[in-house]
Amino acid sequence: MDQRELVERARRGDHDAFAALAGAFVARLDAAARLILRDHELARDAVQEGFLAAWRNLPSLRDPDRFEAWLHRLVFRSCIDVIRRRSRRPMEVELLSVDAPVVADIASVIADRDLLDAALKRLQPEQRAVVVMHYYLGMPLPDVASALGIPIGTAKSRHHRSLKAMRSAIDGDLTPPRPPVAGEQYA
Amino acid sequence: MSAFDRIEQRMPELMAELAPATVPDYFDDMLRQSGRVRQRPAWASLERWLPMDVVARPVSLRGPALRPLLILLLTGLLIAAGLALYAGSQRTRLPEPFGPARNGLVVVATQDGDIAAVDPVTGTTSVLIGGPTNDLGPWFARDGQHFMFVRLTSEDVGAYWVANADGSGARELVHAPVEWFEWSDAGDRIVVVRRETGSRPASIVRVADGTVAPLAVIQTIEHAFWRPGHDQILFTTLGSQGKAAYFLINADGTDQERIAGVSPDAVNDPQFSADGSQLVYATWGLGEGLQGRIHILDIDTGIDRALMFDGSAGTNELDPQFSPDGKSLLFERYLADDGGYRLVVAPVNGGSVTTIGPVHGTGTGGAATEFSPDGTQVLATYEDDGSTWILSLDGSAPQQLPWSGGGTTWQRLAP
Repeated sequence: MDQRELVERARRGDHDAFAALAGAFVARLDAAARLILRDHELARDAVQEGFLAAWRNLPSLRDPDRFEAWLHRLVFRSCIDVIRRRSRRPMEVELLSVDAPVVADIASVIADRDLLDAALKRLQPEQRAVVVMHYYLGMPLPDVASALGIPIGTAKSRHHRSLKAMRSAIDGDLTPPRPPVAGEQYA
Repeated sequence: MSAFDRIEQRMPELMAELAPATVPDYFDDMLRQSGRVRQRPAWASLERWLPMDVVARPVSLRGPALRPLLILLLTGLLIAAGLALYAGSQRTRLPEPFGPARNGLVVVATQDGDIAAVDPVTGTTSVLIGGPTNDLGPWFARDGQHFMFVRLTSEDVGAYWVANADGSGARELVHAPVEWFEWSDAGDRIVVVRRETGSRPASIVRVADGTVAPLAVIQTIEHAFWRPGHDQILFTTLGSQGKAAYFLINADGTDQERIAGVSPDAVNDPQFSADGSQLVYATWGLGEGLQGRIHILDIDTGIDRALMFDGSAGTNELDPQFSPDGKSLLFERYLADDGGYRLVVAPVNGGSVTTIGPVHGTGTGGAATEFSPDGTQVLATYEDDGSTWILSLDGSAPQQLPWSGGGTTWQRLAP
């Protein structure tokens, strides 16, 4: 049974069809949510909320061929909601001072993966969402904008600023992309 | 090649190592939970994204009487003929590509994947590009006659389409993942920046027939802009240490040159003055006049100056743009002590400022803003709550638009 048929059946209330669809996408979306939120529990909350919303609202999906993009949108908006809820309580991830570049000494023994991990931590969650969706999920920026519900210019701007911040973090440049007003740090 | 360049090339696989994609242990619980929830009927979410006056009204089941119908038909024909005559008489009147113009429609992308128009004076709304397609990112040409938009295809690739201002005649122009595009002055061409493996090449696309001419530039391009009054493209690049550089090249691909005087700490995109002689941009760097400061550069002389306005001390100012008449600047001012940011309009030579709109939180990407064509208002979409507003510079009440999320653009009309 192809994906379109599964979507059609799920739209008509076939939960087994929905389970098959969910099984096809949940692993990558869970991984993407973990990259964005940097927290397994929060990622679980966001993915569960996104999939639950998908099941509830499937009958309103106009084009079955757009299911994957639509599911992405729901899950990543749940991520953003989680971020906003979380911003009302203390951050759980490590905070790095903008005055302390991640790579004071780029030793060859440090793996690229760890450098990337540290650079991602310096991004704000909204910026990480753009980077993860673009690079990890391979979504073009117009799709990222659609999924996050932001103007395409904003997605481009976030992408640009994120790469600049990551470059600063990895190459040891002290120039951050956003203005840290007094007392602000980058997560 | 810097460490970042090396990592950027391997970003997808490195991310896959950081977060392996495995079926999570909560998957079965999640399915049990969804299995206990009833689905929402399709009609229940119809009005979620569309304002009521766009949703189709219920059709009366009673058959209409013939005579009123004929009168209605004749009236409609007369109005249509009148509109056609009026449109014909207006066809040749186009706004100058730069400088103040009359305000037209505000065109927005709805979260339902449609392109819709709002008359900011009457509040009347209409759908320009509807149907089951997923469309976003409308952007008007400077003559207000056409707009581009992105249509997400079933392959999740954003194709670029062009349509007349009323939404008619929509056709695909570029079928490729495009990172950036910008209209030429006359609206007859666009410059596009594509994303390819290891590079971002630019091309000029003719709107009439879709003919593509590669722009022979060496550097990897970030963004590209058409220089007003000159058949030139400005493109921005980032060097190995994240330092910015701006270049100019003729639209025919000749005479590429680096613009002198630009601070290497430039951030955000530069914006041209209406005559193309100046650039305004912001810097973020260490040192006097570099941290969150707005700069104006005279392109011909290379003279660059950092601007200070009333209240600038202790704040950071970013994302500047010229007003249509070139006398003012609009920018974001980030307040001290994590006090959020506000939109500010100030004279280009510094001095007293006008703050518009409320304070919004610092921890987001700011606001996507655009002056109204006549320069009396600002169209702003705030990232933290996604709301879109028309803010007046004269202090009158702000107007919230019924949609937000997928991009906005304001049509320019002849005065």
